Amino acid sequence: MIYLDNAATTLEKPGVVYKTYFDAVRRYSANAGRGGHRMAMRASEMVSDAAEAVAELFKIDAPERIAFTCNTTLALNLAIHGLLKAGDHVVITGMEHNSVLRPVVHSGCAYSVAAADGFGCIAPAAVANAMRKNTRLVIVNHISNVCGQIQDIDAISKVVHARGAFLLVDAAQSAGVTAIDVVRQRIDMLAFAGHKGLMGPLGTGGLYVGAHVELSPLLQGGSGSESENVYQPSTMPDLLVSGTVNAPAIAALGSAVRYVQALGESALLSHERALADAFCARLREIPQVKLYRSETGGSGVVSLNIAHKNPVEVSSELDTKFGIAVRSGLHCAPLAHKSLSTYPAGTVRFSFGYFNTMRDVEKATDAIYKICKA
Amino acid sequence: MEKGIVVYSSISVVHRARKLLKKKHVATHVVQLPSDLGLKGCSYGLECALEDMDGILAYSHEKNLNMKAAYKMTETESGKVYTAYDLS
Ligand SMILES: Cc1ncc(COP(=O)(O)O)c(C=O)c1O
Repeated sequence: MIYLDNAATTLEKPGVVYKTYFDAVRRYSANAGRGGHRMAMRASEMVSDAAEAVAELFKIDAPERIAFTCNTTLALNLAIHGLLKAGDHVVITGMEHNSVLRPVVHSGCAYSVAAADGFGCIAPAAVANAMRKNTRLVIVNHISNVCGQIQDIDAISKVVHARGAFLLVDAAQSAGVTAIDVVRQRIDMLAFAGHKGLMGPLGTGGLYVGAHVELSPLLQGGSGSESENVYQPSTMPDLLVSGTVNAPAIAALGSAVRYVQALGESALLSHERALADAFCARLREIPQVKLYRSETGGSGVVSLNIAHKNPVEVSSELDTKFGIAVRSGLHCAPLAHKSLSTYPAGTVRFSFGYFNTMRDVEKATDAIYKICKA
Repeated sequence: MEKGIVVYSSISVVHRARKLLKKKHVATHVVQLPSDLGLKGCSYGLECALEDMDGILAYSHEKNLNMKAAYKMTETESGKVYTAYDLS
């Protein structure tokens, strides 16, 4: 099987991630932050170590500002529902995932959509135009999970802060893939996946919340601290983390982050982009193929359609006849597909990861040639 | 026997403080604190030698390690007695 569905989750992980995970499951699975015995201490130390690794990667000065979650969706919900109040206005972009769109709609707050161009690029002026006097939050998808377009967070951040709003970046596809510096880029909140570009285990993600951002907790419950208090503690991360955490997975995420860090800044982006570039270059020779990809070079995510074929048919043929795993349809991002004019059928998405090779690119393009010829 | 106890805002800060202090060759260890101390913050703290206490407090301020309380802990025959210690 050739796995080209890394935007959904990375299948293969660095060896150190499996090792940390299995060691932790077997030997350090006491309840982190619950109790004073050495096993519980060891578990909470693993979680703290992972927070330090993530903090270093994203240039966060206080690791305790990071709340680990089970995925990006929970992180986005903690940020959106924790910040918004009745009467607030929100700006989202035309490239957002349903894990942004749905919580924003559910919040009941008025929202506007900053339009994307036909390649999925959001101009800072589009964000500025969508903002109102009462805009409290702007949410931007850093790298599109549909076409790999990378947004200019620095420029968007300037526009957002000039108008006094908070910036929440959905880094589901960018964490680990490209450099993120929450201080320099003035990112107020960063929701990230642990299981995608960072190559950590399934069931990992997190939310960074700047010290100047006050959130109310979406969930309430045991935090292992201030147990006599009937209210959720106000200190991070206990404010946002209730209940037992998945310490082995978080510990393995910590190892994954260290691995990605050692590869060097944007190493994954260079590798994945090179594969995607080669893939697109070969496919441009096939007239039936329409590619959806940034003109200026996106990430390792490429969408395409084949004339007269439904995307679901194509992905099913790739799976059954060629042993290639891709994802087709709307990719939980109907807004993005509307922006790219591929709604409602969607596209076939190929997403390259760190462990893919040029041979995988050749096999995938050969398969597409054959599907087009048939 | 007397010891110093520093209480930080969360368990993550406790671990971070311990590691930073270790690098400076200051020995501490993480302890769970009695819930009837009425702490507003983490239930865990760092136990240290009393003579290291002022240095640890100054260093924690310098490194922005958010502290909630500090105590002098005395072990008596009837148990541990905690006396509030000036954080500044
Ligand atoms: C851009 C984007 N945001 C959010 C999510 C949700 O991520 P998770 O599955 O970690 O909740 C995804 C998942 O693919 C995504 O691509």
